[in-house]
Amino acid sequence: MNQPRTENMKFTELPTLAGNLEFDAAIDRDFGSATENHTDGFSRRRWLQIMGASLALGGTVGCRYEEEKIAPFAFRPQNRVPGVPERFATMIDHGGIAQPLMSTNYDGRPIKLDGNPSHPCSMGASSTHTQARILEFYDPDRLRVSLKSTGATNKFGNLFEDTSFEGIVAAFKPLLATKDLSKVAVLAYPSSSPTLMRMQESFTARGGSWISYGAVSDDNTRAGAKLAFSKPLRAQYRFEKAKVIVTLDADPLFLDSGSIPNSIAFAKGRDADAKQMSRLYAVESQYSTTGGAADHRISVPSHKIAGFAAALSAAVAAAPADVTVDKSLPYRERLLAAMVQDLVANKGAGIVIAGESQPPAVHALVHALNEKLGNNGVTIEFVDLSDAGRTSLEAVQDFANQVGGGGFETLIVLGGNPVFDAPRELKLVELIGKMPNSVHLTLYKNETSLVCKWVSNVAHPLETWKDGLAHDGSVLIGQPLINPLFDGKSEIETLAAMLGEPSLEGQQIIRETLQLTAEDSVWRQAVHDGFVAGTATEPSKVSAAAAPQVAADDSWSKPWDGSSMEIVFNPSQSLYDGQFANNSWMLELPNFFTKIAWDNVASVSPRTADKLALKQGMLVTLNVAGAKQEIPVNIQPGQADGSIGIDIGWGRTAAGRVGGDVANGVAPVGHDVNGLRKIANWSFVAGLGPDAVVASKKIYKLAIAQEPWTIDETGKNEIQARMFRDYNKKESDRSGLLREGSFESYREFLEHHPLKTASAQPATPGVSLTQAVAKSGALPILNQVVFVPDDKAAGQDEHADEPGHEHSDGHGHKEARWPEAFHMHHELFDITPGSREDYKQSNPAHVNMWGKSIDLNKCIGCNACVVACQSENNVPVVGKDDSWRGREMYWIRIDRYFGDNLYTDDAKDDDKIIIHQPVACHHCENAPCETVCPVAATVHSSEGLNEMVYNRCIGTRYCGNNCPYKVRRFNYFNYTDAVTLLKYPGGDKLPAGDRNLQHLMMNPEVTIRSRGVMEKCTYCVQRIQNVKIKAKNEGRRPIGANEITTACQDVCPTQAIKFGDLNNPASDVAAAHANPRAYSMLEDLNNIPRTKYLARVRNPHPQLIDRDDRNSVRGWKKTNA
Amino acid sequence: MATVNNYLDNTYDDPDHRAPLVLGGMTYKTVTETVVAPWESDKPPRIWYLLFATAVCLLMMLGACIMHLLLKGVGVWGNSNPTYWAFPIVNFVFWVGIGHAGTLISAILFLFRQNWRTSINRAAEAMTIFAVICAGMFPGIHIGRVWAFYWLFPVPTEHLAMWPNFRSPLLWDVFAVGTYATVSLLFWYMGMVPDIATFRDRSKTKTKKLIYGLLSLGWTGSARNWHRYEIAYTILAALATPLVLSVHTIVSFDFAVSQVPGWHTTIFPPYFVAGAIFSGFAMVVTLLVPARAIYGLQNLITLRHLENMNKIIMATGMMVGTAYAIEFFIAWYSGVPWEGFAFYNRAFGNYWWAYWIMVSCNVIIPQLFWFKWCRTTPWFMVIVCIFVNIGMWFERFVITVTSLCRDFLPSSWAYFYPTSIDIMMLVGSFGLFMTLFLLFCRFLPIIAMSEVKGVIPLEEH
Repeated sequence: MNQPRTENMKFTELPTLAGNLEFDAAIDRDFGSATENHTDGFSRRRWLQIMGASLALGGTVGCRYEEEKIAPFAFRPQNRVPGVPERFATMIDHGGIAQPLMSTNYDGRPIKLDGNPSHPCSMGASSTHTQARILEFYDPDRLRVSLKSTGATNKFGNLFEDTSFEGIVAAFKPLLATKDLSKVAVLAYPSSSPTLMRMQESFTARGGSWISYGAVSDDNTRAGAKLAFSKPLRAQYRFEKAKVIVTLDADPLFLDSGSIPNSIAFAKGRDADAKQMSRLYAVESQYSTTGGAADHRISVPSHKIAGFAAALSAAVAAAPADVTVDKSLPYRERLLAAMVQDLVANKGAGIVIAGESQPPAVHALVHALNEKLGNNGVTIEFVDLSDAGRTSLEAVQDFANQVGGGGFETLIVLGGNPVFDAPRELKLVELIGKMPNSVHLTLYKNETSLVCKWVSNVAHPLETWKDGLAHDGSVLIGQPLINPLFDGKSEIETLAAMLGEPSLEGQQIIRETLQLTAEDSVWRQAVHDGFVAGTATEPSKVSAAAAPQVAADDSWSKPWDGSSMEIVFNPSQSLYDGQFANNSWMLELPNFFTKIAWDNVASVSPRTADKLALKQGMLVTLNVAGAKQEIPVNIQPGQADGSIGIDIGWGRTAAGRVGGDVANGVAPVGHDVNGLRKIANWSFVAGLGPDAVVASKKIYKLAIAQEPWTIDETGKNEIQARMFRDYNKKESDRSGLLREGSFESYREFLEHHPLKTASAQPATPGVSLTQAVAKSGALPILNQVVFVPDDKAAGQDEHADEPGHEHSDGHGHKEARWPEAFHMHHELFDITPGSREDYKQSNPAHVNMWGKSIDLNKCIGCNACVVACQSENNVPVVGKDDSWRGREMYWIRIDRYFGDNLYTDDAKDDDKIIIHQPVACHHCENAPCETVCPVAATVHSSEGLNEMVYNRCIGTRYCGNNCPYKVRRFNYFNYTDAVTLLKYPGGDKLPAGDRNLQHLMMNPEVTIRSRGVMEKCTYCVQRIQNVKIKAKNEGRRPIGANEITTACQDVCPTQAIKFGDLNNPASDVAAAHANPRAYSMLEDLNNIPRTKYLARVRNPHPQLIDRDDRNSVRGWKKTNA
Repeated sequence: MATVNNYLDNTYDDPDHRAPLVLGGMTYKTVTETVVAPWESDKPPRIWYLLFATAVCLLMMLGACIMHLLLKGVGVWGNSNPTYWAFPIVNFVFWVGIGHAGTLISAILFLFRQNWRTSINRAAEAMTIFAVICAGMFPGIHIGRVWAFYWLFPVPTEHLAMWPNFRSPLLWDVFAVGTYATVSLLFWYMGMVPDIATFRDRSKTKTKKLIYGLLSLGWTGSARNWHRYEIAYTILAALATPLVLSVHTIVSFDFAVSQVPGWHTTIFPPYFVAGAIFSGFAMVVTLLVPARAIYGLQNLITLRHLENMNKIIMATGMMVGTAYAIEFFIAWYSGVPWEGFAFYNRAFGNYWWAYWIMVSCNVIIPQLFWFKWCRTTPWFMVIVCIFVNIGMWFERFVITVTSLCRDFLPSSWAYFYPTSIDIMMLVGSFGLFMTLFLLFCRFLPIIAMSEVKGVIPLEEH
């Protein structure tokens, strides 16, 4: 093609250039040519394209996740279907009361604990502590092996070398073999075990001393009962029968040993729909769960509650049968008068309870008061205690005195942690340290273990046979669910071996105690059920002695003098007495009221904070009789002025790698306030001056799940404005996160518009829901579950001629045929038929439409659902730093709002409104999260679930932004790995076995989420699927109305949560959605959530209502104007 | 070398004369020599080394932060549960905004025959590309699973087995920013071809000749070349023009389409575009004032150019200010309580300080440009423009963070605290930007020589 360039080319005419190749090339260069395009063969470009693409795409095929080989059973063990969970009844002792449990085992390992549904003390419900036991069980920090002191010590305590169970038995058996055990003491953690009591008897019969000590005890309660009845008795409250309940610094719904049965009964007694509602008054120094659930609550410092009790007692004694309440009285006195009137008017249907913090005299006074009111034996029953002699605090003092006097040579510490939680002034560290022979039988190596010579590795209750007495006195039997992970023997077995008992095997010992050795079938039945039927203690017929003298004192009604201070020591809601200090589920669980996780604080009222110039989070030094402790301040409305509330159980120094292990460089979590607790002022210390609190300049970083009360004014006002619907605003703007009305008006409303019960709308009998849907064509809508006002109200309109009557409210609702007086209820208890169930109309193809309801009237905010969900759904723990940043992963959380009293302006600081609102994913029909996800990782199922596809999620977090409920949770880090799951510093250095230990706890039916994906409540989709599969296998039978339950629902003691198929009119949830109290949160956004809340119904005393609650929703700003 | 006359002021308007856009009596030759000089000199000025070293340090810090992020997870940022988007998205929107001026100058001003664009368009376009690179980086690494970022693209792969969600504004974003980056790059590069050819022709080493030869795509300067070039340039300008409006419109949809109070407002598209041009011009001024001083380009980038840009800054600043006011008006007028609170909280709530930094920097400070001295004094205008850029960063911060940290449920409200990584990555992104820009100044023609030659005032005969 190329011609040699002619050097002497001359100007030529165009025609001569034609055909000149060089010229053509020049033309091509300047103007392009068509010769580049090859039409035949494979073009170079095409070849490169294809090869390049293959290379690029071929490379991605090679990307795989790591494969892991598992070895299946060559021969399947009998009665085990792989992958099918099994459930076993068992029990765990908590604070001296046995909790009946049901454990879910997966491939032979327990993964979830629930209450035993067949036992009346649980009915399936359980507490946060019970839920957290499963994490404790798989805690790698548990003691692995028995230890023996080397004789050397360091500054943290004894140094140990490994030994064996046999080694310990060999060391102690000779010491205990002697007939006389007068030099031997057992310092036991409170337990209800009949077997331990049997051992105690034989032990003390041989002269030994058995001291039962727990930092959280019921000493005062027992002493009070002894004063009144001349023997300690346990009160069993029949809340369901009560019309009036008065609690004096008491918390029967949470910290009380019978909190679960109490909560069950309490919820039964407050069924607003059944027009039955007790009235609860709480008088307390700080918010308790009970106080949060109360209709009226005033805060009175703990040391003034005795005065209040005396005043109440005197007023009841002086009250005529038709006592009236003078509305002109100051609020506190008016409240007392109302209380007196209620109690007098409801003789035999009242309950007055004094809390453990109160001295025995107050308890005795209350028993006498109940006696006088005829409540004893009716709403309060007393049962005998099997361990009547237990006196924790006194006993431990005696013990210290005797050790000090050289009385004991040998000590067996049975569980517990007295070195940490017994009064420090007893100096147990030195006393026990000096004893020649001491052994600690314990699950963890804790502060007490460090001063003992021997430490015996105790198996976890889930690994051993055990027995106990439930709150009602019935005998529970707990079977082991798994072989001990770290060997270990139960306390019973260890003691038996040391004492040289004939039977050494746990099961045999318990059968002997319960005298069930012969009757095998009875034993088997009892083990299967988890309890021995018919063993509940019969109430004893007692009558209380006359009231002791308690100085009447009206200082409770006076405002705080501004200088006198008291400090109240509360058991921690999460750590209890400190035994859960290494349990990250408990550490991270926000306190119900302060919403603070990972710390304990000194709670003070806003006024106290003002007076002492304290700021939120400020570190202060508390000063009690020379003992000092630094602790951050939390400003807490509802706290009594001048009263400082602190949780005990925090600041452990030898808890483990999570909760603090100073010997290994892990700082304690929280602040140890046990040093401030003196024997003389065990529950609270009063009479302190303002110098008891010394403020510092330092602000401490508190991880708070909800912004504290002390946020800026703009925010504070807005929260108040958002809580309730504001009648002055337009309907569409009147969203209201919470709804509340008085029982009085609700009852009146129900009279005009009775509830239609679910059974009134029969389900299509015998038709399987899955079969009922035709393949094509018009799909049957099985039933419209709507609230229909009864015919009288809807049709005849008996109020038609009353003034203010409205037929149409002009916003699309059907005619609201109520007089103006009821219009408010239309706001409060929205009964618009149909409009709320749009999802059914727009999605007729749905066969099962899962929905949930949460009854705010029942919820007491006990947090059990939060931990149950965590356990069921493998929800990780994020640690303090990430909690502080607000990255907690809870799928369900409890929102807590404080507001001013809706019914009167007089209450001012007293009697605030507090409402708990559990919030989980609402599974919106118009889910805002779904549309914004760029990779379609969150999608809607045909059954209305808002599903999260983890492996498709890339973590843009847009869904989280667009979710108005803020229930989506993002894995900012890989929270489920060994390093972060339990927040182990140096967790990556744990041996592989320990790392994998935590994996055993995981629910295999729920995906473990990795870093970078979004997650949220699934409505326990795994449970839905299991039931669906089961129903399908059983001949495609219809799914039962309430067959599917969520984890949060199962655990709820008050049964506030209902879940099920909205399309099945027989289901509880359909009935709840049709309830006139049902409302959707943030309804004006038109997300059409599948979770509805049922408005709270409060039952205030009529004489404490200054304004009609129909106006009560008018908003905070106006009432303050 | 042409003589630089610092005293000749072309900022006054004489109805008789068009103000000259090139000063100092420059000719074709001197224009070329002036622009080529920094490239031809063996060593760039010392200040260049200083700036480059700083920029590279910051870039390395950014790289380290990204590595830390990839190893640990996006939790190294301060994002939290209500504030799911924070610094990364703020930075993204900020940089996309910066990236607006270039294309506006090159495309819209080109189509409107605003000849004064010629001296500044090249640098502005380069700045656009680099800003878009910075912008594109942030959403890429802010997602939880960075290694799966390509799932955002409609890639028909086996394991995804489905298309992305075309309803999501984030997907629109991917397309919008992707298109914008592509077209801007093409536009910039194509406009540079004749100048690169000049570099090629003047290259003294073989390597340079090869590289610039390849980059110049065989440009000969023939009539045919110029003909096609002009057509293509106009077409690209026409293509790029709607993109100027669309990119930030769609970026604003990320916010406006959601239902978060404070985001869900219809004013966002025009407001974002105005803000983007505002910040983009401010950045151009910030960069060009030192550049013209360092490279002696005062006769090409004259005070008149700078003044024109300052006028645009003032105009767009007032547009942004109007938008702020209208947002408040609508929040009140709509009667939506959520929105009402969102805006009240913005100005008087827990982030009041951020809001007032934004208002001061974006609305109040640019008012100085009413004074001629202010808009014609280079050092002073740089200060104002830096304030504008601070203000615009805070605007995005205010929109993103204050809306998220307090939305519907007070229970979920939480204050946002940035981490050191947040700050370091923001600063580091400037390192990336400056590194690229300094490399551009060193190796590519800063001024569109071929175009400037077209606006040299003809000698009067």
